[in-house]
Amino acid sequence: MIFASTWVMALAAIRDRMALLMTFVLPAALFIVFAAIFSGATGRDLKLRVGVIDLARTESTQRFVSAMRAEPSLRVTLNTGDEAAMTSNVRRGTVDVGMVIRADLSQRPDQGPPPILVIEDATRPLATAIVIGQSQRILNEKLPNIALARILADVEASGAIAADEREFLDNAFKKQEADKSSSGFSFARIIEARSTDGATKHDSVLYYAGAVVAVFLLFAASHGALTLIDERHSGISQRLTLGKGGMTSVVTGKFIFLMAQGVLQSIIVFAVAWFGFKATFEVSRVAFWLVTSILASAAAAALALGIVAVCKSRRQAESATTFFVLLVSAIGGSMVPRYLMPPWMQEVGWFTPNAWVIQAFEASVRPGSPSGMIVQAWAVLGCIAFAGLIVAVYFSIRRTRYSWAPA
Amino acid sequence: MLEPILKTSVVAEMRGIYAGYVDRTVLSNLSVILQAKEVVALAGPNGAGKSTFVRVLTGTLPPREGDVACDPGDIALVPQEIALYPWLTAKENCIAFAMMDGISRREACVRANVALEMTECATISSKKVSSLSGGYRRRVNIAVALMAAPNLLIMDEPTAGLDADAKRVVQDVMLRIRENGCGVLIVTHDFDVIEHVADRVLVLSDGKLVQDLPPEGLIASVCGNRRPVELQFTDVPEEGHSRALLMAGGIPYGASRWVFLRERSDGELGALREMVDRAGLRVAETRVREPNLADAYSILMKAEARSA
Repeated sequence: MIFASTWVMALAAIRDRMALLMTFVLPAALFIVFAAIFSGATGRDLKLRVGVIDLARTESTQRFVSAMRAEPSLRVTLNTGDEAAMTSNVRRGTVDVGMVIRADLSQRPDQGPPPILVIEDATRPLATAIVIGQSQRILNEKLPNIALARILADVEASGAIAADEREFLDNAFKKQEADKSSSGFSFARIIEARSTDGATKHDSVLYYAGAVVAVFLLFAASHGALTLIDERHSGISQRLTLGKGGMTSVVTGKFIFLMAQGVLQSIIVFAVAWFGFKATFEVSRVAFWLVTSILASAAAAALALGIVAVCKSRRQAESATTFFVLLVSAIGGSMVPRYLMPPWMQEVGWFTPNAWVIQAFEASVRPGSPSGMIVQAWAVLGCIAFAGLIVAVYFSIRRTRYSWAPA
Repeated sequence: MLEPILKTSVVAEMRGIYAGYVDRTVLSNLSVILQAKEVVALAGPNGAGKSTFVRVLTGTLPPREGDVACDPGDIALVPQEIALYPWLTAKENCIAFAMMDGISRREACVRANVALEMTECATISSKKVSSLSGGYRRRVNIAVALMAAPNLLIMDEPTAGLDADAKRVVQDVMLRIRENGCGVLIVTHDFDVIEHVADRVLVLSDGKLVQDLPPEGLIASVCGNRRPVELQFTDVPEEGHSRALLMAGGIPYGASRWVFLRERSDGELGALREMVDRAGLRVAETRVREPNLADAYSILMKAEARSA
């Protein structure tokens, strides 16, 4: 009885080639776009456009500009003009952030305003923060003598350093600078970045694989679940209600089909991530990944069936599922990683299936992930699937019972 | 043939049924017996309680009072809508619904061939439903219901939207199902179909069973020794004239066509002509004919409305 309903759904999918294409090719295509956009926007492939005007044109500012141009995360263009011209460039979006070097970098604080002026646009605050951070890193790593000289100037102004001591230190800086084989000042190496699992840069796409799968599982399941309404309106449900299996078998059959469809979608998207984007593929994690995939698909299928079963018309169901999928995808981290969201929204995110699907996939594919993290996500997804299915069956029976309308 | 499993010739019995919804009672003291090898038509105006009748009979609405003696598992429904999967073939639809009813695939294949043969759909069994004509879709709709080998087949407006030829085929299918031993209940407003296939007519009005007779019995009971006189007026009667025609026992059959029942002995129709002349109406055509089921139903409903 249940298999018959699954078989009918499968034939519907196979015989509607456009729908088949949309179900299995679209997620992979969109994953590629998402992965390219977001892993670039939040990862190491970031390329911010920075416009620089060097008004001072001293030895130190030219060294700084050269170092900035060598920085791979920035696309530096040298501009001419003044502060107003740069402000205009930033406002027009010609560059993401503007930088005007007004004086020599070793200029003492009491001799005027800070030598570097950063001009930001209110719509790109994150870009400014990144450029300031990179500038300070470049100063520390490439021009440490200037950074130190500014500190020493402060110390000298306070009278804590004598002139001969200052001269000795200046000579030491010059010697250090001239010695190319030297690894520089120790404070320039105060920070070292290391990945938790020694991941390659391509592994960031695995996050988006989980995130995109979470969205498409819900979208595809919602589309499939709409057949519940179509069958109710075409009289198929009334006919089936009189059968031995009733609506319980029909809904369960649909649930199984949507779950299988979801697993297939997950396989396609993760295959693109592993073999297309060369993300780390661990054979030992396949079993974990498969369980996650099944539970995530089950949760999406049950949720979609539950929402559609509650709705009275197709239009209602289409609006409800679209709104639901977009909302939980936005809050749950499928569109933007949750760590970039305000703290309260990060907490709210735990009430969405997407957050748990993403956590489960992340923990499944990364070796050494705490087992508690995986089990917790699995438990939540399992509970969502169970509750959604109960709601779907209950409302399918109820709505069909009250939709009888012989002439 | 898909023979129903009959324990008795009575396939369903409703005794003293009161049923309804939260705030209103729809069916009042309804008692009906439905038998095998019988086509019963259920007629009545909108809101008379036909859908509630079917819901009580199929067990989807428990009655407040009274008993329903039938197994809902022995009943199959042919909905008014084409309740089929359009992307499946006619045979695949039969098989799919049978399997959803717990029948094995092998058995479903055998039954599908028989059901499609019985509904004259064997030639289109491998065609997708979406590519079939309206008449074939209706028949496949019936074939799918036959897959459960029911004792009672409920058909909701089985000829809705069909042309005369397609309607005739569906009528033949109904008679074939009856010959096969199954009871058939048709819910319809098509009195032409009822006259051709029904053994009995149940007329519901305001939740009460007002007639339970064979078609010819119903005509005789309502029309007696009278026959309909159809008057086709040259113009649509004004409101005042319509009121006068109604008072004189007229039944509107259209904007300018009215029917009056007159005694067969009233050969000259003198009184009727006099009344029409007095009202200042001009008659384009007068036709005296034998009463049919539609006449009897209209008169019955008018009488019911008057008594209500």
